[in-house]
Amino acid sequence: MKKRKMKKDIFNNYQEFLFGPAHPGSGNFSVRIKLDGEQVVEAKSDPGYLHRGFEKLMEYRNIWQNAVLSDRICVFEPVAWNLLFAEAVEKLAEVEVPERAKYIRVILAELSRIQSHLIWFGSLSSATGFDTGFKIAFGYRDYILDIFSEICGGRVYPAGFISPGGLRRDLPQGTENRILKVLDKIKQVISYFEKEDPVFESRTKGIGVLKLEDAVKLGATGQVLRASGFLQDVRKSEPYEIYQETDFAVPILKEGDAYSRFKVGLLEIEESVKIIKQLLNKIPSGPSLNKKMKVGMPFTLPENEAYVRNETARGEGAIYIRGKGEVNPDRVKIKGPSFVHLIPVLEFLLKGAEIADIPIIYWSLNGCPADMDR
Amino acid sequence: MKLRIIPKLILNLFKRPLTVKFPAESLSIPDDYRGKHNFSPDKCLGCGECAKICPNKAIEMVEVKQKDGTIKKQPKIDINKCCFCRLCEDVCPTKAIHLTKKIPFANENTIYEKKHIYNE
Repeated sequence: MKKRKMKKDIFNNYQEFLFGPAHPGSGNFSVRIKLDGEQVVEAKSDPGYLHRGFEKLMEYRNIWQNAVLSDRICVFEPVAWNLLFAEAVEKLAEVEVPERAKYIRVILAELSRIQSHLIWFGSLSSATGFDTGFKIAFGYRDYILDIFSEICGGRVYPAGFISPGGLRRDLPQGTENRILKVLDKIKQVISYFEKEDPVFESRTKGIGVLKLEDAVKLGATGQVLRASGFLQDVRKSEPYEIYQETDFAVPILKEGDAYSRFKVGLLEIEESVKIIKQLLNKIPSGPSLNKKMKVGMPFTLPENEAYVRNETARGEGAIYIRGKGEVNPDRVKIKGPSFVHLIPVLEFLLKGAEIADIPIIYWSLNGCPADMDR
Repeated sequence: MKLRIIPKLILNLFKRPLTVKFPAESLSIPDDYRGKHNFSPDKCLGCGECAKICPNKAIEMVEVKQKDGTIKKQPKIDINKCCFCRLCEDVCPTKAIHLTKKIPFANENTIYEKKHIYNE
């Protein structure tokens, strides 16, 4: 009997370690991992390092101050969250948005999707040890940031540029041509990433396979769900802004591994380029801000509630807002897409994976700890 | 495979680097950039709208003695708290505050000594 116990102890001597929050491949997020040799036996997400309490902070600010705050929900795609907050307020207070603003909003949102995907490809290639890809992706992303700094006044954060009721400023003159030039640059990056690289493929193909049943059961959204073969896109199923008038396809693949997730993202960039090119020619003239919604005007949120969901670059993001007849909202709830991807899906995929594949599985999910912790 | 790299390598020798030598030359900054504030005291009415809307409470209204001896309320901007959102510019009825293209802060005193823009 004693001998058996000894054996059991030896076999159960798992090694435990933390992936993150200081690991270069995991941004401010950690996973507690139990190892048996090279294999992961158990993985547990350990979030909370980036909690800033946005939901409570928003209860003490008016809508324009909240629009500025809403950028910071996700560092990689501030424009998308800015748009979501503006839409939530518009739905709650039934504010009309000028047609011109809707076109510019969609163009900005799609540019934001492209730059967010480029960050994703950069970090995914650095996770596979392919550092050139990281530098190419981040270098070309700066062309889009230059456009943002021209339109919004800041490279990364628009600081409430998309405010409830439209846009705080109009497009500067000649921006359309500059956006077209940047789109040519983006086609160059796509051609770089489309080149078949045997090393990258061998490191990502067949790794972190998420089958369709599991993806639906765990509640995955966005390109994680689409790479598993489920057609779902809020831009198609519940069109917002001007998406019902644009012509674009939603790419899906069936394999569900890290490589197909990357491939879906690549196809999505091409679709985004298509959307922007369609809209640039059709921007109508007129005001870009509702006259009643100028910054600093007296505005109270009605006693009602609204729930708005959007297709952000990482999946489905949503904001619930409730007013109480005052300037400040009564309650704001933020649903980040990464919450689902980085807790249940990541824990499921890491079980049984090898230690060298942890960064690849983590980054193939395109998670952002900032929008999960809020 | 290796030979294909060589012509590109030679071409790269004659290319200019993408980076610039910063203090001597800088990249072009767009006109609408949200940089350091410019405050013109003559235009200011002292209404305090900018202090009310500032999300970080970086603006405080203080009483300042004018040249003719009268006392007038004026905003005092703490650059350390500022998030450069431009709400103060948008809300100002006379455009007394506006954000400029100036961005290099590191070699100025504004960050460590709380020197305020209208004292300069």
